Amino acid sequence: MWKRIGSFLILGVFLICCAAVTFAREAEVSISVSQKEVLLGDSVILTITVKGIPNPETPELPDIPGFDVKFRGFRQESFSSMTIIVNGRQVKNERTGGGYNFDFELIPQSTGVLTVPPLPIVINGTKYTTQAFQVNVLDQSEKREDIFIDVHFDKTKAYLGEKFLATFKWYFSKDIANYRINIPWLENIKDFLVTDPELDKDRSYQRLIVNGDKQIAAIKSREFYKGQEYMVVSFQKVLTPLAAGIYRLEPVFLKCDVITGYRRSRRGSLFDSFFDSDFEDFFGFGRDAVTEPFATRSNEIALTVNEVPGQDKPVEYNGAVGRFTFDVDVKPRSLKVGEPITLTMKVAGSGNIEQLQLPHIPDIESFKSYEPESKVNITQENGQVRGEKIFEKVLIPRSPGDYKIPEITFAFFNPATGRYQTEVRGPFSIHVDKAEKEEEVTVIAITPEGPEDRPRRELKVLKKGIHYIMTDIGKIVSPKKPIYENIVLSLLVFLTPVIMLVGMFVFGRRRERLNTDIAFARSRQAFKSSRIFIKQAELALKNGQTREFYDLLIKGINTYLAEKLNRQLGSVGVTLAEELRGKGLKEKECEEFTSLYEKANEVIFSSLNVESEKLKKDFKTANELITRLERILR
Amino acid sequence: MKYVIRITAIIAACIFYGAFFCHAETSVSYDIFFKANRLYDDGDFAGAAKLYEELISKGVLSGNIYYNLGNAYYKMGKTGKALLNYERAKKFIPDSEELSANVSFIKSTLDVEQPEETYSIYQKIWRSIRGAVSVSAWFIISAVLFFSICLILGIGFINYHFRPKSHLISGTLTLIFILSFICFFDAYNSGKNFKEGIIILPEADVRYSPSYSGVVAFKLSEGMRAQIIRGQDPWTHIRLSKEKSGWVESEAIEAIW
Repeated sequence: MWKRIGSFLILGVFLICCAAVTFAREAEVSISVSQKEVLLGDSVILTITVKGIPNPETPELPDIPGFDVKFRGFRQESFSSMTIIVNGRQVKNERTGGGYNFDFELIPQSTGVLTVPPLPIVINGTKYTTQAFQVNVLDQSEKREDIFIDVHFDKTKAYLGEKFLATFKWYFSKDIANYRINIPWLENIKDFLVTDPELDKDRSYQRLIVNGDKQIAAIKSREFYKGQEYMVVSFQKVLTPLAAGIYRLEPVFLKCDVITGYRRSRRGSLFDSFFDSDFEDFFGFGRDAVTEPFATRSNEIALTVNEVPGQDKPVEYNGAVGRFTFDVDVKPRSLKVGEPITLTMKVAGSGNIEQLQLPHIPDIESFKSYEPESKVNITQENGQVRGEKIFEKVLIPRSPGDYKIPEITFAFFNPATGRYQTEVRGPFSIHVDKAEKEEEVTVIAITPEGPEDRPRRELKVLKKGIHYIMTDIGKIVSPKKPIYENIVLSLLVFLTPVIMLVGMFVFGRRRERLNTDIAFARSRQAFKSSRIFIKQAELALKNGQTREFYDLLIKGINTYLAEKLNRQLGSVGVTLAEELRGKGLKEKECEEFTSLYEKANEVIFSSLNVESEKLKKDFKTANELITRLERILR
Repeated sequence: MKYVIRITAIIAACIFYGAFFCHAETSVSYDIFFKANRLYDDGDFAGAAKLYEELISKGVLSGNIYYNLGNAYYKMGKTGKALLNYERAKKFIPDSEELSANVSFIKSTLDVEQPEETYSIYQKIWRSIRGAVSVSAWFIISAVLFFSICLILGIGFINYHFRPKSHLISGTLTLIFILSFICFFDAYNSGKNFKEGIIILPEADVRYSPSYSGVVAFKLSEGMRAQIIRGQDPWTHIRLSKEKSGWVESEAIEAIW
């Protein structure tokens, strides 16, 4: 029975392996490269094509030396079906496509022949390795006066808290078919926050694509530069430094196709279809233009960020840097108990408006205060970031009387003068009357421990808002996949009970058979029962008791045969030799069987002396016979 | 004996170092979290958001971090990003009252009403059963039921007198197991194939086709929720309800997970 179970298991494993191999043969992973020679500033598209795997996961590429790697997206090839019919009969039906293309943009960081090594990628748990390939990166083209870029910062030195305004301008007086702009410091620059300036709602902007997939609001205009008219595409970025130091910003790269001629005349305005979805019609010219590639870059720029001076720093200074005005308004000045006072503090000017913190307001006794709200309005004038930040704090008097809201101080560092300035407003007088309706108080009993019956006001929500942040990090969860996404573990979870069930089934069946099938039960018991006599025979052998030895030996064999063949003890013996030969006992073994019985009878009935070697040999023969019979009498 | 002592000492050192490293790593995360909280208190919400994002990018995930990030984005005026991170926080702290209150408040400030999917009574019943517990919980329930079925059947094989009862009990459990496994499979597939996202730009045009020349079907405002069907850079196919689906710029929507 165990042989059968083992055979089924081996067959099952073999079938699973065949299926896996067949399935694995269908999966296909390949790579392709858009171009092997590029200008510095341009990029190469590496496409990983996966076929035969449904819904593959996006593969992750390792770092490639000399390249910046960005994932551009994936495309699914649609299926196409081709049916071949001959003489009215369909002879072939092919289905192709259905693969997934994962596009990665590789941006080279230097000129020269750069090697992309074999890349290990994992798709749905299976590892694949790409082939190595080389990319020849050429330096920029010769400078042209009809196309150039200019990156200008409003300042190169600032204090921590001040912002830098970067203006990018692309001048061209030639027609352009395609373009590509790379700004390395746009997205990930250490110690800087890069944001967009406030857009003018009255102006129209166009979307410009930079860094492959980032959309920026840009302005198109005409400008005169050194006596020549140019089309200009411009946009701005605001850089807020977060730490002091000297920072070098890498050059901005531009690559475009300059139109040198046309195959057929189809000319329109340069910006007619600036943002057509069809990339080849970017500037409104069709596929008929003859183009010449051009690449250039701006200069590297160094920005210096200094800490504000530590000398003469006011106590109230909270990090404000710029030129500001400070106003405080308190309304109303006369009110009743329970009514709210709004303390409005407005800081306006140019500087780090968004980072401004609430000026310190000392606690006022008999007033309940609420967490202040703030709002920011930012505008841009002549390239300068200006705005205002308004803080509103609500105070509610608890008891009537005359109060003073103390002086409120706002300190800031003025980079133009290089000094700190302090603006003080207040104090503000407040007069609080009793509430309009006195609360009716009914005194039931006045005792030190007695209750007082006082009607209570309903709790009203003055204003809705969001709750405060959590002050504790909470329970940290490690980002691991749930167990059901691990196929091996999931199979194990369900396979283990099945194995357990099979084991219990086999055990239960055996137990049942032992209880109901006497012949089976005796057969299973035979070897164990014979061992009792065999061990006793061994003991007799050691003690030199020859007669007892042979008596017990024969009893052991007879017990074994009686149990195994389900016979009575008295009916088994040497007479079974022929029967055992028929069941598979060899001729020599039958002879040994017979001679063992004859020897035993001789010793038992005639007290024959037997050498000790012979006794040991007979003992061994008996054991071997029983072992052999155990194998053939299943 | 000396060998045993040496091996034990090495293993103990490894465990201690590992524990120390883990503690050091955790300490760094706490420092960043508290620094972010201080920035938030000081009104530097952008700086606070940057630090919370840094924690998340390092794999330090907790409901409180996502909640605080949502608060920071709200203070910066980015209601879409705020709602997005509140939804992410729900996975970890679904019973948080502050979280529910903040989500309700922000949703009440949205300009456009979120269109709701209409379901039949049977779909509603099925969805309520399926959504009663998480996908992981359904998987565990199915695994436990399956184990119980095999165990009871096995006991029935061993114990003859218990066999009729074992068939009855395992039969009943099998029906429950089939239901729970279907719930798990359906919930798993729904989660895998139908991601949800939040609009994070002030306004997003939903077009009939993935092209700027495509006709604008309707506009979505920041904070609205949509089902993400598939991405086709730089466009994403989304669905709000049976009649409201289309293509939106991928930058305008961010998946919750």
